[in-house]
Amino acid sequence: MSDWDSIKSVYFQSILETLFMVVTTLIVGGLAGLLLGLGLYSTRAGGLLANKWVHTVLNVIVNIIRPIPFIIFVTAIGPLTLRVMGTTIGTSAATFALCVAATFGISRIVEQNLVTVDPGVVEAARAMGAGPWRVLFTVVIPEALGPLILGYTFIFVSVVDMTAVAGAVAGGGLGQFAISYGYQRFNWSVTALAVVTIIVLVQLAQFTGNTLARKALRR
Amino acid sequence: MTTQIAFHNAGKVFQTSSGPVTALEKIDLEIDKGEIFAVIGYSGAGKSTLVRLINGLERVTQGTVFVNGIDITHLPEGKLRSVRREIGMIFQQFNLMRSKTVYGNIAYPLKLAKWSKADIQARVTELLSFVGLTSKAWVYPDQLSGGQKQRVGIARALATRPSVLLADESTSALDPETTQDVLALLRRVNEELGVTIVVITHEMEVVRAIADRVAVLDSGQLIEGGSVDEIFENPKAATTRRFVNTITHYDPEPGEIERLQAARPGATLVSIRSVDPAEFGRCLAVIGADSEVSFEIVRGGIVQVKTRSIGSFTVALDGPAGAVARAETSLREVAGLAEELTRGEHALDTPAPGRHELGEEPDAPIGAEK
Repeated sequence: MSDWDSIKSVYFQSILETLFMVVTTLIVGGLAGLLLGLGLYSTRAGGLLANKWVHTVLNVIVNIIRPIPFIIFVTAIGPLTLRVMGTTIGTSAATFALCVAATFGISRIVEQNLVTVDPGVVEAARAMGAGPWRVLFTVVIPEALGPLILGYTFIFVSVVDMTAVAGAVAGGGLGQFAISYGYQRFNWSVTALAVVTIIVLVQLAQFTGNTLARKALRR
Repeated sequence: MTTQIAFHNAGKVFQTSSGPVTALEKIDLEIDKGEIFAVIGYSGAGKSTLVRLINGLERVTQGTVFVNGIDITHLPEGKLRSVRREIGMIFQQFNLMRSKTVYGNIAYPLKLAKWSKADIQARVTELLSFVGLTSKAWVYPDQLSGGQKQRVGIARALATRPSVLLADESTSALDPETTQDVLALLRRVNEELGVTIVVITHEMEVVRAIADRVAVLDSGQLIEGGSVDEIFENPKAATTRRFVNTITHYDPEPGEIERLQAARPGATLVSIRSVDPAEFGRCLAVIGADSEVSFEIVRGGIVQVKTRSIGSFTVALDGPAGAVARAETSLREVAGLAEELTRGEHALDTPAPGRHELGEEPDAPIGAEK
């Protein structure tokens, strides 16, 4: 790579931007998605806070937003991004869109993992006099922790993918780095560098996730 | 005896997508403080719903339920939680939290009840020793056998010193030997701690082994109830008789009598039921003393129920017709519940003393005096 010196700082900057977007999305979107997923799980028929109407509303919202391809979503949410973040370009603006999109994706993954918790254990906790919130946070989540960690690891990979898309709308990060310095300058080795970096990131995340999940499952 | 749990005309209707389903109706039941009360029924009879009415996991749609003198029928969920802490519950599938150790499982209800850390530690240690699992405190439920899991379940249910323990098919997932261990533990819970136990089961052996009183639930209704002695001695409803028969084998299997008869064409089969083992001895003495009659015991058995031995046996009597009839008469004098099952060829022409028609209807009460 002949122009390595000139793009070195951009490369490291891009890694930091990607990490910032992924970590922020996993924390903010992860928590919001957890709450939304808990809402979906607990309001379903026979759930701890069974409520047909709330469940239907949550379900419809998630079903509407989740399937929107992220590249469309990130532009469609533009006006809201402008209001909240004051701009529609740059890493912060992209991160906002990422957080919102991830919330809906994560909520389904959380719901799917929580429904696998043995209803008998939930009943046992209720029989001991635990209220619904108590049961959710001290029984349901701990019981589903292993699968939840794997679910979040899966989401990590999806979010890395989404950050690359955010690069297409000037969101920064490795995606934009690969497009601006690799694709548009016909510099294939820059593209390859971005790809390898992303592979390493994903591998590290998957390894960490697997290790934590194994610990939670004690297997 | 004070009443601890009372159902008055209680009913439960579930609203399902295919319309209302009646799970329980017209339940009138009083369970006394300190007793072991069993509810027996086939699956789908409504047993699990019935036991869940006691701690409000299910609410009645009709009638009332009292626990410790409190009408829990319309108690709001928040207040119900404090009632639930007075009632322990164990389950068929144990329902332990896999993410918590044995210690964590037993400590959970104590944390809910806001015990201090030191008190929790003392109590869990005490409970672990009570159920004999002291060495397993830091083990996860997945590493325990079924019997050990149920012991943890019992320790957890007893943690807050409840006055009532609900046992929902608590031994149905266990092998016979482990079942006996767990039943023995439940008996200790009842005797040493004075806890009232409500046992839900489909196994008459569980009733025989630990219950003081039993109620039979069939299709959502209580069809019969009484002390375990009474029910074993004189079951009335067909369902009750089937349950009792699983232990006493009073009623022969279909075709059993025919096979016994076919093997001894000349003999007359007479069945004797009793709640007094001495009576069996007297019966044998009577027929043994008759030199004209030979006899053979072809089926039967005696089981220990609470305070008594209850059982039945069937003898094949053979000899001249008059002698067999005479022997039958003497048997009836000695034993209250003697009856002829089939008549052998050798005795076909003699009128039997107070002959019963049997074997036509499978549910005909064997030994019931008409």
